[in-house]
Amino acid sequence: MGLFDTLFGRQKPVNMSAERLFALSTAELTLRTSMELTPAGEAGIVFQGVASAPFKEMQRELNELMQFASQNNPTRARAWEDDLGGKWFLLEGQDFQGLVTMAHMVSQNLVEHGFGDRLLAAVFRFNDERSRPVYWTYNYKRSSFYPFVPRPDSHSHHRDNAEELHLSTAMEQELPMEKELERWYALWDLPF
Amino acid sequence: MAKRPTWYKPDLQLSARMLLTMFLLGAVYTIFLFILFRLGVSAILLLVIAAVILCVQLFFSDKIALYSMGAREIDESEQPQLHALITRLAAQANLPKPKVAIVDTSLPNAFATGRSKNHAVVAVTTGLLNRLSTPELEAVLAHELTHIINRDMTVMTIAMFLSMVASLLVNMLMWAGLYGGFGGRRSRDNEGGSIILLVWLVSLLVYAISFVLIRALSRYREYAADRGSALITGAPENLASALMRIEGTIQSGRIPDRDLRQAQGVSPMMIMPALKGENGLEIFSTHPSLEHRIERLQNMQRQMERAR
Repeated sequence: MGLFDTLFGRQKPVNMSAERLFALSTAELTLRTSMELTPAGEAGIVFQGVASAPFKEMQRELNELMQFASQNNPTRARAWEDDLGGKWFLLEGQDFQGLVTMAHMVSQNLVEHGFGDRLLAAVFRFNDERSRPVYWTYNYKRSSFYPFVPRPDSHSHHRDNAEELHLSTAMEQELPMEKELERWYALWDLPF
Repeated sequence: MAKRPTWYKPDLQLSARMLLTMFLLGAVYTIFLFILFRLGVSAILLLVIAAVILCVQLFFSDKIALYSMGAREIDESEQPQLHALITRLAAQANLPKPKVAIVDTSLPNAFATGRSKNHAVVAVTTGLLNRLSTPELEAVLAHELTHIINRDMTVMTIAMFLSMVASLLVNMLMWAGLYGGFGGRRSRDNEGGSIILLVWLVSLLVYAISFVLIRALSRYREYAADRGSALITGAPENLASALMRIEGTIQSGRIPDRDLRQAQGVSPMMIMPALKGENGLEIFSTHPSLEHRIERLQNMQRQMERAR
């Protein structure tokens, strides 16, 4: 934010970029081969709503579009809402490229309707060798990725920070990685 | 790059008002300094003292505020829901996740403190957690996050800088006057006495004018934070209903007096003025009236419905 934004206390929409999402498509091979992480065939994209008629209209059209896309596609999408009010599209499909493309399609749609700044994250689930979840999360506002690894035993919201740091360092050549750890926002209780 | 449509428009009027207030404040301060130097007051020592106090205030603002409010930092396991809410809002606001603190009191209020995004703390009272619904709580937290984004702690501290010098002068000269008499007991020093009286009057005037301007600026920052809250949550009506609920609780007078006095110092950074006495004239208060805040939120709502 610039000096004048601070002086006037005004907010400007962040320049949203969904293009870096595709970095994960290319990084998938490395994740699979050298990190022993396999795509779980599940992903999600989350955005915040706006309480207005234009937004609801966009959402309805987007829902129809995704239903249509799911019928003609090995990748399927369904809408879901979490208990913090976050609006999701949950994606399912064995083709990893298909998941990334579909996530990109959703975000592009929001951006085109002027709601790009409502996009929060796209989350891709991978499984480690003991088939525990490792989530790679894309932050639209920062155009960067970060890992999110919930501790398997804990229901009280603990993350495996050591594993996350390890993954982040190992993948920093392949993925645009989020540098500020305070921005590795947790996403608890995912349905996938 | 082609300009994309957005679902909200900037509030140019609010920016213009802030600019005017800051300009006037700057003008008053410049004139004040000019007069001080013309009257031959060695204000340097005073400036240094004020600067030190302000730096301390700025750098320890988070600790001072938390301490004076009796706030206690909490981690994720203690309040998972609150942490999850703040995480989500910080992600939406493109802000590093701030620390979270809780104040044990039935007074429903919240405040943000810290000099920068990376030293920020958001504190809420248990009264707030108990009384508000999740969307309302979210709106209040988003208001506080906007204070952090806008660096209101720093902006207001800087705005108060010379006002504080003026107030120091007023107090010091008054005590000096009471004990020594203006100009001292030596009768030949009459001219010095009138200069000191002049400095005292000028300082008093500067303090009075800057007080009103600073309060105006504070109210505009509150409007901006309300706006920011609506832009983060996407729902201005949630903040409106939260504000009404908080106001209702404060007015009904169920709040112990001790809390009111404790809360005094941090008032400008709170969601609502903590003092019941502050429902006097709007030009003397740190927060706009509830009616005005709600009116603005409703205007935003209307504008969002039309935006295409």
